[in-house]
Amino acid sequence: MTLSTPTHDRTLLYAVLSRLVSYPVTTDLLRQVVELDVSGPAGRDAAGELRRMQDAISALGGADAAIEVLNREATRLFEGPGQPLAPPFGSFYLSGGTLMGPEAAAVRGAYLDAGFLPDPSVHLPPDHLSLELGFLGVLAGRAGDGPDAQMESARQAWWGFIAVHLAPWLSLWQADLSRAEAHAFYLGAAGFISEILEADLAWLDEHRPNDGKAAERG
Amino acid sequence: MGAITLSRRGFLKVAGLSAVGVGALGYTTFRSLDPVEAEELRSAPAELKYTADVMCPAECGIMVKVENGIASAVYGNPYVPYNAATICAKGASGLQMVYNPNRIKYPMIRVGERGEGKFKRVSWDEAIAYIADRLTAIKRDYGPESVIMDAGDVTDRDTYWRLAFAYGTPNATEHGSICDTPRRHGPKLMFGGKRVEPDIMRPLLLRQPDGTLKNDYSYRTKLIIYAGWNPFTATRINYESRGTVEAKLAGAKLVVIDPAFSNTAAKADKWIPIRPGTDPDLFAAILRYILENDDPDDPSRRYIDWSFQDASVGWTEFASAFRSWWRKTDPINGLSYFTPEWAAQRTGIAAEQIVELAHEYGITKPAALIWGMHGTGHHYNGYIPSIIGTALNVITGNFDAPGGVVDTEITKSDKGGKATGKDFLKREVTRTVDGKTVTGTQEELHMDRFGDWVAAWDDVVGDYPRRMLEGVTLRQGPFRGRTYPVKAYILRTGNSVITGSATWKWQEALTAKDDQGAYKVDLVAYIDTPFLESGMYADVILPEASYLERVSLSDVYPSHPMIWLRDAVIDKQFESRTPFEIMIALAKALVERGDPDIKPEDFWEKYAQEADFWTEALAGAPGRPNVGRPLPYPNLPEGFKLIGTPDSLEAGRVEIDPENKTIRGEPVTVEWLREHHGVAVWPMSYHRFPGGILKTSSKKIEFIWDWTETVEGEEKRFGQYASYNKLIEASGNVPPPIAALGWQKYPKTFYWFETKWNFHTNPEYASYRDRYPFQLTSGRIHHAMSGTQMVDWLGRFMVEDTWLPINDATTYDEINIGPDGPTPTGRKLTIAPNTWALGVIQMNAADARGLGFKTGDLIELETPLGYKARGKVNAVETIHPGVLRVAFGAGGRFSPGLGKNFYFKDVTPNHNELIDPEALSPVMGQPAFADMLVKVTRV
Ligand code: SF4
Repeated sequence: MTLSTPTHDRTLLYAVLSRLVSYPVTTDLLRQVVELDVSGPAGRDAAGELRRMQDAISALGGADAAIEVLNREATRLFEGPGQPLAPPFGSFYLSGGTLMGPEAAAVRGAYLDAGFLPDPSVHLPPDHLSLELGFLGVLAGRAGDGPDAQMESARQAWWGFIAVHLAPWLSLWQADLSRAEAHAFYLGAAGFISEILEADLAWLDEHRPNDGKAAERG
Repeated sequence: MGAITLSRRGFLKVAGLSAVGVGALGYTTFRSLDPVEAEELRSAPAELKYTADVMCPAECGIMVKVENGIASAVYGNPYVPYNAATICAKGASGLQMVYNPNRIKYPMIRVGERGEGKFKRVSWDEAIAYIADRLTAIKRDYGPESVIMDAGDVTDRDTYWRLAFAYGTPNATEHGSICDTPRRHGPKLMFGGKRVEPDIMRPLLLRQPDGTLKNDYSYRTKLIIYAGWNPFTATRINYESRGTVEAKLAGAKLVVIDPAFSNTAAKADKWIPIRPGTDPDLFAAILRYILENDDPDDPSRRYIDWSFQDASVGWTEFASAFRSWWRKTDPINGLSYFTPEWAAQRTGIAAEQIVELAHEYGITKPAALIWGMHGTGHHYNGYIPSIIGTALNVITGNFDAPGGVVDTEITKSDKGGKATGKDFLKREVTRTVDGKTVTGTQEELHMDRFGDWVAAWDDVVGDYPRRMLEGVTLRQGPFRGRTYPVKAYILRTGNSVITGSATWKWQEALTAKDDQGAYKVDLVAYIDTPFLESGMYADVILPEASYLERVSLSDVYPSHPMIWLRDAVIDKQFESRTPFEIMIALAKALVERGDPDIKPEDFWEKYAQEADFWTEALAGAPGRPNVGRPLPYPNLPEGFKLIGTPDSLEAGRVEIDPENKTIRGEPVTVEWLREHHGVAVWPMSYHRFPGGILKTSSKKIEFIWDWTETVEGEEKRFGQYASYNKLIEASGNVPPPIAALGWQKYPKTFYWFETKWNFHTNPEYASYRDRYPFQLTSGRIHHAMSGTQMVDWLGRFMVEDTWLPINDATTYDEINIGPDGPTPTGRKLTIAPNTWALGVIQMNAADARGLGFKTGDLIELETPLGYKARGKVNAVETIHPGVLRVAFGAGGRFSPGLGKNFYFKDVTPNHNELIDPEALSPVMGQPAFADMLVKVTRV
């Protein structure tokens, strides 16, 4: 079965989302954000969140002018030094405030199950949000190309990864960003990531293999 | 994202994405694994990897369980005899440090004022360029000596020192200068050593009569006296708590002399409470008693083992100088010095008890007299108990005797060697002094040894703030008269703002500005894994790879030569870099900027990788002579220096150089250590000092420290103080700290002077007795030390009576440090009452009753100089009346990087807010942390 889904676009989109929570913010990234456009399905406000980011960039005077402000804000929110305001790690929220807790090991296991690992040049815990979003891009790529069985299992893995490793903590992370009065760009970025993932989760639930669902029900 | 609604919806479409555009973002990539590799990785069993701890500077050998690249548990390494498979609670909780969300993850540059804590993340290139630009300008404008490299509290400082020495500054230091220099002074003077410990490290690898090597677990000590020494809580010498218990089980008696009923005292047969700062008085009374009552013909009074004279020099002069005080009368009590009655007046210990202790120590053999770093050392005159204690251990025959005491400095393996870069210090340099060009060596520009602190073997960190504010004046050597400013302070794994003498003085020095509004110290760099208070004052922060992510060596305080590897057992987290990588990056950046002194062939061309550097540091190991009984290697020439792996020496795969008296086996390398459970262990022996293990100028135990002998027709000066006195004689400049004692140079032998801020012993302070009735002392709480306060588990335990879960029910705004400085995160942190341990003020219950205080009351301490600190009272029976005790470095901690303790900074006392910044002990410059008088008031 070949699905006429724009999974190639998803690979690219996840790459952009991954970069939103990576350092440094670059003009290329901000220009890419400015060029994005979102449509359908009803009931979602991905477009609103995207606009929040785009408006923030323009309020800062455009991509070039925004870089310094946004990188400082990313330092404040994600990195410290000292206690970060909104640590972008699954373990922090799911494994008792530490890094590299059981959640990190589980995420690494999920990467291995799919036959991937982050490049050795990457020195981030496996459950850093930017890696997790990058990994969704890998899965999306496999879901749109290759033998049917591989595409099906990739859709199942894609769904599972969002449901198990992102959905449980993303709202907590967003709440931390709100409490920290994060810059509108990052509030928008978090909202946009959340909207995309929620929509993809719903779509994937519909299009993932039935035996995967049966196994869960069982 | 909230609850996920699994409704059936269409695909959300995003336009405006192009492969070219997104490709340009360079997003994080994943590598695809072949199925076999993926399966291997998935099913890879957990591994145990050998490395060394750094949760405290004991640096025990550890094994780390690594699963899926993630460290999941820490155990003691059973192959390292130093800790022999054990670890403490702090060591076991190390993963909370390594995987702490608060650890420094990326290079940062300050964006606000110093102290505001405003930073932005930058790339390594930017951070390195920031430092290199300033180091280049400082060298050009002021000279490289204007840079201080303070490589802190972890022993793998060699890379940083190498870089500093190659750059051209002699001012590379470590934390020892604010740690235990007075405690080490006696061993340093008499043995060329440092730290005397009881012979209770087990197992010992001992040669057996049949020629085999065996691990020996027997304890021979019959008496251990710990004065102001608390291995169960305070020190970092892992084997001492274990060994003390084992020695007791084997029949040893334990006596603890301490103002507080410490955890060690709780294990003792006898606890003798003493007033702070009076250990010299007790030790002097013991020595006088032994000298007066020793009778070689009476077995019940045969205290002295006179054979010590065969391997020593100067005892007669020492004893005579000591005796000369007996004729004097103490102005404070009208009694003759050093009698039991005199000591009783000062120490608060009954004269009969002093006599009993002196007799028991003199007659019991083997015995170990051990003195502490805070308790006895952190006083203005903290050298004196160290000198008397060393002499006592020698004359009673306990030094290097089975069951006696061991000087770990002279028995441990050689480490560092040429890798540390000390050869650079011998380079010839020229400077202009009073308009004339003068030539000397780089070393002779040293701010302490050629400035105010000639005998400060380990530098004077406590006096850095003054030099930052006022500059350095060289008083000795070829460059005397030269002045230079301190323009850069690079701090690695230290926290001098909290632990390096007066906190406020450090803050003042690091934030002082010149007339143009520029900071006086141009560059403050902070290199570490945790983010501590000193980091708040940094211009640039470099994230150092944690102790599980880097390679280096450990060799701390063992009884015989051994060395163990610190290995990278997990990948570096985030963008942290190893000290080796930081050294190479800075060296390259300096060379790119035209640095004339740093050469590629000394850095990246010499060391292709981290392990090469540490292999060079192992080149001289173990570097100790084949001496003592039993002889470590009976098949090799006695007295020759041993170099090489234990197995090559054992098998005789060696080259013997009779001319240089060296035995060279196969070199120890990082690879060899990796193949041998991370550790090399060479055999133990006793009675090593007559065989040449001492590092003194005469190779004997020296009771005199400056004397002249004619050797081959030439007059030669000997003794540890001789070189300093020669400098003073040549310059005519008496270092101000010793001039304040009325000395013209360093004394030839035994000396005595009183400590400061003590009305029991020093008449100058008698008038404070009524207004400032409490002596304030501090003690280490292992759990609460500096960076490890960020480890959550350790905040939950009560420790002795100075670290206590008596917090109020509290909801705090969590604080973060970022580009806007300390900022509330918006998260509320709720801590239930009495669940979180705080640094508290231990006060005698009767004193508390008299003042109407009870445990939990918030009080203020104030010194005669007007310095203040606050904390909660802990009213207990476990402290000498008239004495208050706080945990060192445990209170007033204002770095948000520490976690919960930050939120209690206003109700926990930082006793370094109270210290007299001028009270630096006169020989070594150690801050007199434990010499304080205070009054107390309710808040
Ligand atoms: S004593 Fe120090 S080095 Fe040893 S395990 Fe404990 S914290 Fe680690």
